[in-house]
Amino acid sequence: MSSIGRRLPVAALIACLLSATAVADEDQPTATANHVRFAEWLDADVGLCLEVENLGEEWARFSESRFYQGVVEFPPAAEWLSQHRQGLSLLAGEIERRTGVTPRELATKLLGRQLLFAIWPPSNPQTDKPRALLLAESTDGQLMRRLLERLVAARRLAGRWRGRRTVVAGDSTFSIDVVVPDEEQSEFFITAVGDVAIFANDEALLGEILRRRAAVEPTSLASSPAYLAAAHRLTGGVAAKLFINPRAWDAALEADLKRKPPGSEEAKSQAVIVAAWRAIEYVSGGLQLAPQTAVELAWQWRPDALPEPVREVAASLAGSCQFVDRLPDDALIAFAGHADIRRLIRYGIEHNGPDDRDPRSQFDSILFWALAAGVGPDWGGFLKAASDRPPSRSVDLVVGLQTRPLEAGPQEKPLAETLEPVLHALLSSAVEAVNRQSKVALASIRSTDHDGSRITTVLGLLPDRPEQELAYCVDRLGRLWFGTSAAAIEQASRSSATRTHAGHPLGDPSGLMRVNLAEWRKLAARGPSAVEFLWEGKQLDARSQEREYQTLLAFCRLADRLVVATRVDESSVHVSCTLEANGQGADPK
Amino acid sequence: MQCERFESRLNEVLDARQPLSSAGDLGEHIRTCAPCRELARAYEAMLVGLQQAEMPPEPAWLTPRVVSQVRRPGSSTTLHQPRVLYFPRWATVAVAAAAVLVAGIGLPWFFNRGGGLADNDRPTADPARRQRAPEIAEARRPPRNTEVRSIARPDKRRDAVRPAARTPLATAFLDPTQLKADDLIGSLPGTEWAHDVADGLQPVTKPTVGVINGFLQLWGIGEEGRRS
Repeated sequence: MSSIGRRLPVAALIACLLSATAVADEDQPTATANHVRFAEWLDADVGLCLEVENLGEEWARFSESRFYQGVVEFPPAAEWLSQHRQGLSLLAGEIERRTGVTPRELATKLLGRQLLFAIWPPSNPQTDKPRALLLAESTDGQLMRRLLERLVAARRLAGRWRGRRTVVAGDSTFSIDVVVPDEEQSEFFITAVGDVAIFANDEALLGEILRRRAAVEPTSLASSPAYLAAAHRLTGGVAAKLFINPRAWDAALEADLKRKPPGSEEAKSQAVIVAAWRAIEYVSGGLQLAPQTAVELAWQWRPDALPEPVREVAASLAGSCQFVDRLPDDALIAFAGHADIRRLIRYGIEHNGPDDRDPRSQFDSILFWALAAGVGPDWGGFLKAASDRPPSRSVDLVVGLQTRPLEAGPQEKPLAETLEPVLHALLSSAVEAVNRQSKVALASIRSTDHDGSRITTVLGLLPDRPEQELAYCVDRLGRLWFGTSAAAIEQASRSSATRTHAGHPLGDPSGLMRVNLAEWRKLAARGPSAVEFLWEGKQLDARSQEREYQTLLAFCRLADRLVVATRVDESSVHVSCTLEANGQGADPK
Repeated sequence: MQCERFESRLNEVLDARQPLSSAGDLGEHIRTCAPCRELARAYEAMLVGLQQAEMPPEPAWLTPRVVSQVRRPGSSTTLHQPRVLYFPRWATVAVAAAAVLVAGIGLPWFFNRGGGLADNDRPTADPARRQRAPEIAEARRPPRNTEVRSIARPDKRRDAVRPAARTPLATAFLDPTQLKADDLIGSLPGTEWAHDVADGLQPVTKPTVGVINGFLQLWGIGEEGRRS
């Protein structure tokens, strides 16, 4: 029977998710304008703090969203649900029996207004456990008190109730029940204050929270600079936010480092991690459920405190990527990034000791790294549907690389311009060789000029795809483009590229990946043959192909766009992942 | 019988593994009280479900791994500390990638591979199930063409015996044999670097997961004392 006990928390979460569809019909009370923020009750030395606001209301909005419907109907999810339906309903019933409330009420009422979970690292990681606190402001105080009574009664019945104590805070006296979970020996302290349920695994911590609540301290987590900066970093509208205070964990990390064998690889690696950690000022995360679903994570550091190699890597990734504006909005998948490879190579050369090997025996690697230094820092590419093609050539792939001179100097050409004649000569030779061998003009090469950029197209070089074009171009800005058609390259390389992108989640991102699910839907609507390139080489039978096709369709119905963006500067990283649904084509059926 | 007494009496009967029909007082009450009848049905269904559920076999590598871990010089794990949490490598990678917490809860939950003293690996205490263990083991054995993960890997870092996580409680709900997250993550570039970061952050992630585990168990309400 204990397995049910172990499954229960999971089931509670799952059942809460599943039952949320019905919540939309209810009027959900929202947090009042003058409600106390739990962060004001906490000391700033907290190690980790997770806050959720208006979970009930947020979840109701989320459950109305197309994304939620799409997930429920998504074949792998639907299959999992159908496999576990019986277990889920049993466990949902068990939750109700144990707590007296349905999973839906648990999520939307007990945890419905404000929730805070915080952890304080142990002062001595070897002997102590972390202290932890859960504050839950309910939308229904009576229900919350009933639930707590039932929880304590069940513990008492199981012989794991350790008694009732009193704590005086301000003018009030609070009764605290002490209980022990089934498989834990540590005690939990439970009390209720108004509509707020308080759970802690440390009595002193609970007392401190009650005292802070009675007389709000001038300094608290809510007023700490790191917490404020972390909260400010997140975009508005997050339902849940996470704050990690690195300073609170310093001692634990250093104690762990001291346990590593001195001089070992493990210790060296750990030393870098600990040093990097000490440079971090905060880590911040956020989750938005509606109107669009988004996850974001940001962390800030002091550049001068970072270990030099880490600082160099961060600096090489810092900056915005110019290719972002070259990505067509209607691309199926588009990606762009920024990485200063030359900076990294130089750093590596300067800081690696002299190599004992004969440089002449390393000619290939030296040449490779020399050429790599001329690549970047920006790159990008996209996959785009080609409407005027047969299904077998239904998409175009384009990849672009920014290049720069290998040597400094105003007259030096970017690497792409230097390579272009070499590349042209190589392809011409290949075409000639193919035609000579086949004794027919199977392959051809031609070049055209567009806005001062020469686009070279090769046809007939691929043995299985005689009509497949391969093209490349070096534009006036020294960017090298490769693609599967001249038209697609021309569109990407045009200097007057239309900037029709609908804004990026992080302003000018350093990296971006965009999956246009609406375009995938359009492409898939042409029939399975239009997307069969996705499972080319897998040797699927017709039935498996059909299943893959249906799964793809279901996936494309989840939203309109999936956007992953990163923004890196000298002192911070910000990553966001957003699922956007604009409403067009919203019908998941 | 009154409803207040019904549930505890029901527990007594079910704890003794007796059918409800053997308890006349319960049967009489059920006939007249619809809510208690529903409660009894739910209990019964739950027991039936549990009886039908199969206990996973004890993996062949479990014992050597435990012994090796206990004997390892300088190991912090001893027989007196059975509840120390460990992360499997894939889980720590995921935890690091999601910056400590989000994945600290989610990924171990979804991708627990049962590499250590996880609940699924415990030998059953039920004599009937012990008797059926070979059958159960055969039934749950992966098909011959299924790759079976070995404890020994070519990677020197992975050669070290590493007990896996006693990760959060959700693991019993998913079939870990169907999950290939370790394979997927292990094949990505930069994985070794991510492993190092994840290992280095264990002083943060381990206690965090441990505390979350404790709170989840509290909410399990745990009727172990009277029901098992």
